[in-house]
Amino acid sequence: MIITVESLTFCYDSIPALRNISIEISGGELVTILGPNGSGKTTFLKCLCRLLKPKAGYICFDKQPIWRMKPKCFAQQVGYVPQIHSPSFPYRVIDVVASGRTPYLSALATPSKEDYEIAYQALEAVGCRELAERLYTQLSGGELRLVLIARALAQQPKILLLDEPTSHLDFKNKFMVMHTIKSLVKKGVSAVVSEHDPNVAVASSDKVILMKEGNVIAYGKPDEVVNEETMKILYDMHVEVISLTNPQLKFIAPKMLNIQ
Amino acid sequence: MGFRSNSASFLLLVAPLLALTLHICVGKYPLTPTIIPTLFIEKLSGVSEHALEQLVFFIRLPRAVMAALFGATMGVTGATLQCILKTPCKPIHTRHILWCSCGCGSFTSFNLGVISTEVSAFAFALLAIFLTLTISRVRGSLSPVSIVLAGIIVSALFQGVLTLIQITAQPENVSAIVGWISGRLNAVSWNHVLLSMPLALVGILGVILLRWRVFMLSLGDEEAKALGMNVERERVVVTVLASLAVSSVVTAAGIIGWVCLIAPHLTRLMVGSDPKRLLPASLSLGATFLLVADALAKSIWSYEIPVEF
Repeated sequence: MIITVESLTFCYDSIPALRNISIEISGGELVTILGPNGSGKTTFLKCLCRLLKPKAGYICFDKQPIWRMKPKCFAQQVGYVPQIHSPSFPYRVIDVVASGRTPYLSALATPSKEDYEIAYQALEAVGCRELAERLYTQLSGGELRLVLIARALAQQPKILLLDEPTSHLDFKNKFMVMHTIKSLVKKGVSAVVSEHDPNVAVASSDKVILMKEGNVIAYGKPDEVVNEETMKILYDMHVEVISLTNPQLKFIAPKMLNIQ
Repeated sequence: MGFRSNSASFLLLVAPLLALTLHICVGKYPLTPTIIPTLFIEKLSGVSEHALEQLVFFIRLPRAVMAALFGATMGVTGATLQCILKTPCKPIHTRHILWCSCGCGSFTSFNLGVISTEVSAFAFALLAIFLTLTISRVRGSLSPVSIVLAGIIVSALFQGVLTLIQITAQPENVSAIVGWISGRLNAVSWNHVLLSMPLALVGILGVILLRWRVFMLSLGDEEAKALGMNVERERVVVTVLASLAVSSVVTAAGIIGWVCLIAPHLTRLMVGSDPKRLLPASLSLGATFLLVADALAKSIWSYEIPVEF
């Protein structure tokens, strides 16, 4: 599915969060948004999944403006994994994952056996089937992330929007989650992910969007976009990009700040 | 898991029936449970020899049915409102339910025979719902917090009206008003039951049928929206259904507030927060709970204690 964003502008009250963003994301790609805190990554994702209505500009999925789609129809195509979620009641994990089936249910229905089967498969896909019967309130931060990703998978969407899916995750799980997302992308899903760690972004994405103060600074393949100059602009920090040959990988190392 | 859940379902089915039997049998004139089927058979076959028939069919049974209906309604709506307002915390929650009750309250006593009490109590309940939803919309979105806060405002307003009515009422009416405020299951007749039954059932069944939506609302607005739900509309629908059920039983039987607190908590302890089973289970537990409580209220003292205490 092709995502077209045209002169998208969004303000919180009078504070602009996104300034005139135009971008086109082709289908079947993993696109990562990199940017410092408060640069508009989350706002951008929320606009993409219709949680926020832009002040100006439009967003189309396959040339169809998203605000003209029916909510249910939209939710069958777009899965969203929020950044923070504070669970209020001790539900079973599998029920929370099954809530991803809601866009396919009629108003009075509860999920069927098949829906639960899909939910179990989704948990399996993120590698935590054993969490199914646990209580949602007793999960660790990392497990919670994986469960929320599983729920988005249970939606069987064509587009996945993930807001910092790797936060709270350990060193290995960070890459594991990105790997999982990548394997979904190979099956034809498009994914837009916001991310804090440039190394994770470079290692796994097809394209990278660099965002600062609500503007897109650069957009393209990680090799072309992520370099010493752009990182300096993005984070106000000197870095050194080290190229590894085996595996072929770029590594962004911070040149330590002068702390005495 | 399978065995436990099966036996729990069985228990939830049987418990209200047992409680109902207990409720019918207990009282100033205790009955043995075995007489109830005999009475039913006699009633159906038209032979009425037992003097007990009057007692059972016109005094005990309506009260028992009303208690069960009241308990069920409060159990289900309590659990529902807990979910959609995301407040397991109790005080705010009670207040919120009571606004509706108070709406009715102001009326039942206020009305002095102009139109029927039930109709006007309903009108007040609807007014209370309308006010709450309107006030909670003042700042834009219809969030759980704003509904709860608006509920407190409206509840305070009606509480005030109710006090005013008590002060200005004729002395002979005051005792009736106070009786109503503390729950008056003892004064219930078939008329009350028949009047409140349809709307209470519509409300209860409606909410139970919508239980997956109720679960979704408890996950959080953003989540529910991202999963294609019209959060505000569904919250209004569920709130209105629950309020209708509550106001219809409160009109008949007065204010018995605490069932809606205890039943859902008890249910969560028993069946966990299973979204499919929480509401049906709280129906059963709410009914059982009030039946047992009312059976106690009418039997442990020579004078009947209002069940609210």
